[in-house]
Amino acid sequence: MTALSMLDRRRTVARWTYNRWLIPPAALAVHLSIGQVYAFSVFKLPLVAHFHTRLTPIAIVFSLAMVMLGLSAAIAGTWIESVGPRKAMFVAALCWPGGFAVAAVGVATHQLWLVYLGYGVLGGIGLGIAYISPVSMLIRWFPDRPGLAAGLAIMGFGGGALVASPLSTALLDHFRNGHRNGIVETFLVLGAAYLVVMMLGAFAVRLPPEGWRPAGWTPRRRPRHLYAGGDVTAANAVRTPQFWLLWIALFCNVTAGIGILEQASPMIQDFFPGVGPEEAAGYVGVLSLCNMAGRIVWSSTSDLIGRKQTYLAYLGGGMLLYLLVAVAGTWSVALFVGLTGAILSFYGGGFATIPAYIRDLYGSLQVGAIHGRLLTAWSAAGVAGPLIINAVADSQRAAGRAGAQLYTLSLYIMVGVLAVGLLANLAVRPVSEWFHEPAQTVRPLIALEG
Amino acid sequence: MQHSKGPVGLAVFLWIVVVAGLLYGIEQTLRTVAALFTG
Repeated sequence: MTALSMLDRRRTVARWTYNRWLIPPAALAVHLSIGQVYAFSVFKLPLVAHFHTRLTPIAIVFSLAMVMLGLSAAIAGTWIESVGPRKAMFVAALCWPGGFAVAAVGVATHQLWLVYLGYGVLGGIGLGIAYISPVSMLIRWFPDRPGLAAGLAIMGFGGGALVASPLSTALLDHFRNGHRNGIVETFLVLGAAYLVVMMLGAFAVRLPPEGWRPAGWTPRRRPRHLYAGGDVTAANAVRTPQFWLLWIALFCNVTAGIGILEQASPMIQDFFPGVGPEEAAGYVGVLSLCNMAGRIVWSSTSDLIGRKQTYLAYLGGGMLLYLLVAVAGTWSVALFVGLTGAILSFYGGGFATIPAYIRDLYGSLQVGAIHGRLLTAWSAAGVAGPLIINAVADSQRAAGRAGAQLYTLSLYIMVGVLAVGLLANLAVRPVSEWFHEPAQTVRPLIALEG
Repeated sequence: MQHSKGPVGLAVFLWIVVVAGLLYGIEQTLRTVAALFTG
């Protein structure tokens, strides 16, 4: 019981003089670990061969994990806010590596349903809890730079795939021996490593004491024109039009980016017949770097120019970039890589900017819980984006088109999708005072939240 | 309210781990990126 009391919210409150720059590595450790999910494709072909099946049943593992990420973030958001980041990160540190262990048993016993249950369901629940738990805590430590704070954590999610992809390949090569494919051993080693790193993150995490502010900083009266001066609970936030406008803006931005991300390798080979699979893998690497860099760069920029303006840049700039890819994408490889890399930086930036956007609109009372509910847009976009690109490419192929022509229509569709997001973002106004919690309710809630 | 002292050493160690991890990931990715422009 004493050991478990270490997880209590009251045990995680830092002393007044605690250096806030000791907090980001805890969040980064957790996000770097769960970012592995974006490198799942490394296991696709080995799993197909191991289970003697097709790509689709294996792709379900990843889809299940992403759906569970969105659902668990939405459902567990309020619980995470109430128990605090350490307990939530501890639970996530059991679920995510636990998912690897169950999946390893599934591979060892040739039971694909155990891989679904382990990596997809259990691991996916861990993903959702781990994704949102450090973000609202970091925003409390950096009330003067909420965009930078969220960007620091969420950058780790983009970076996780950069680490996991070569590491998984190296582990598979190391453990492959005769007729053993090395998947079980690789899952177990990755799970053990993530267990250690996430647990260290959970125990390094600290909440600021009540009323804490950075030295010399005073909150502005009307930050970035969106804060109406009150705090809103998650239950009330979903009743405001602003929540659904943000949902649409996030959905459109993610749909546009994920469409390219999912089809990156075949797309560049269709645009440029001289580009082979090895060069295409390099292109996927460029997109991953742009995705990660966009998370920290654009999110930090939003602290200077405002969240609504930053989202205008993502959506309006994205429209322009998609048009240029459709019109001039075939002119040169460097131009194509530059344009799509910029699109992917906006994709990453959109994820990292949304927690600070929530903070601006609804106050800092329940950022994590509202963030969790908003991430259902990600799950929906994860289905819509690849569906649009793949379905249009298939129909164009059936119509006798080839090369870059396969994608022209879907690129214009993405311009339309981004235009819808742009209109939604333009319509965002400060939340009506009718939804604000009364001051006498907020103070005890903030004390409870830490 | 109990204020914990905070393990500064653990946080510094984690900074080293995450920065090393990110640098490893970036270095490995840049190796594949090189193939795009030299291949």
